[in-house]
Amino acid sequence: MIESYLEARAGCKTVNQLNVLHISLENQLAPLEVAALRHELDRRRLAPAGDADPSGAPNWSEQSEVWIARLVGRIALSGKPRPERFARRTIVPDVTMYSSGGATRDKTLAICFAGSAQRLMMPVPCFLQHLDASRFDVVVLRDAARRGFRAGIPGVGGNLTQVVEKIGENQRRSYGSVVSYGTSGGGVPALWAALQLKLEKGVSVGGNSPEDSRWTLWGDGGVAVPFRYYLERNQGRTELLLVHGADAPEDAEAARQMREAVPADLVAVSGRDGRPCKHNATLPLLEGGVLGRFLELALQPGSDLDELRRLAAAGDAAAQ
Amino acid sequence: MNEAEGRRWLAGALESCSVYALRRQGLVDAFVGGDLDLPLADLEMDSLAEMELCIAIEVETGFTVVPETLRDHESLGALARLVAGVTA
Repeated sequence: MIESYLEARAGCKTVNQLNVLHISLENQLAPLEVAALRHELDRRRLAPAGDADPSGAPNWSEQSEVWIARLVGRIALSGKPRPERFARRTIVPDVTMYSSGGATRDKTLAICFAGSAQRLMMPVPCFLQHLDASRFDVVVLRDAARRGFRAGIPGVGGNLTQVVEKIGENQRRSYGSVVSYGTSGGGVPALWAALQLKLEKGVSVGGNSPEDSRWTLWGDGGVAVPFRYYLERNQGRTELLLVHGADAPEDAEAARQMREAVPADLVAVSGRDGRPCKHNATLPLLEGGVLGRFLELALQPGSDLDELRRLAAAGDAAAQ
Repeated sequence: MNEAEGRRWLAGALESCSVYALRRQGLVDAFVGGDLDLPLADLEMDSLAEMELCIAIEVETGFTVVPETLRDHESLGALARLVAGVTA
């Protein structure tokens, strides 16, 4: 991996091209891969310098160091001494599976819908590090077209219903539990997946309103129309959780509207250190060192809502 | 590309970079029409969005703006003029 990273880096002619490479890696790597990359970059940095490139092309080693240190620093906020042992497997370019192996019957599968930034409000290895790889397998879905998965995912399905059907097929039978999770533009698709597949739980963080223009395919009620259909069919079995930043009025209003359309629990995350919590509701949880516990509870059916809300308000409490 | 086209392109680029402040405030038409300008700080871009916007500008114009100096441009309109000037 280090060789392909260095090769790609050497091909970058501008900082922006290097950032494209780094963003792409942050959207895909597993924690173990980040640790390996860090180790190799450190080893090479400490090695005696070779002859300078006569072409004068930038070598980017300093920028690499800043990038990997920042990424490792965010991963370290989990407080865990070792990287979670997820292995990455690309199903199709926009669907990636992360698993440490073992019997799926004893595990929970989290079907995760990335927002239009192609990530779960944070680098993927950072999100994964906050889960327990012995208990969770994670599949991350990205919509490169940034249309909330309405046009599906190439190689999987041509619309959201087909994508959900394909990804969920057989999983409900083989896993002990299956839940869905989505952030921002992936929030509504996560709720959709939970309802369509009759999952135990669906979680949306900073998701759209059911009446958002992106979801008016089914008339003025937007996504509420198919959601009500699925809810009736599911007989209320699916638990839904809506999380939003306490200082993001659009997201709070979207969550309120969604809760009018479907029964759901609501959690507002407070900012910390005097900073507001806006669209990225996971950031104060990450920086406050409580993201792991928050995700554990959020992804667990029947979890303690009071504890979730206490964690969400932790930054607020610390500021007082 | 003239300034109006630069503004239209920039409004689209912001959406592509998941920056929805213009749309959420109902300001897209006023900005594209040249009736409104606003500081970059009002867009509430996070570091990823800034990187993506710089990448988009470089891909569109070939001109390199980096995240560290993006905010040196006084406003979104100034950025639109830059985009238009480079591609003219």
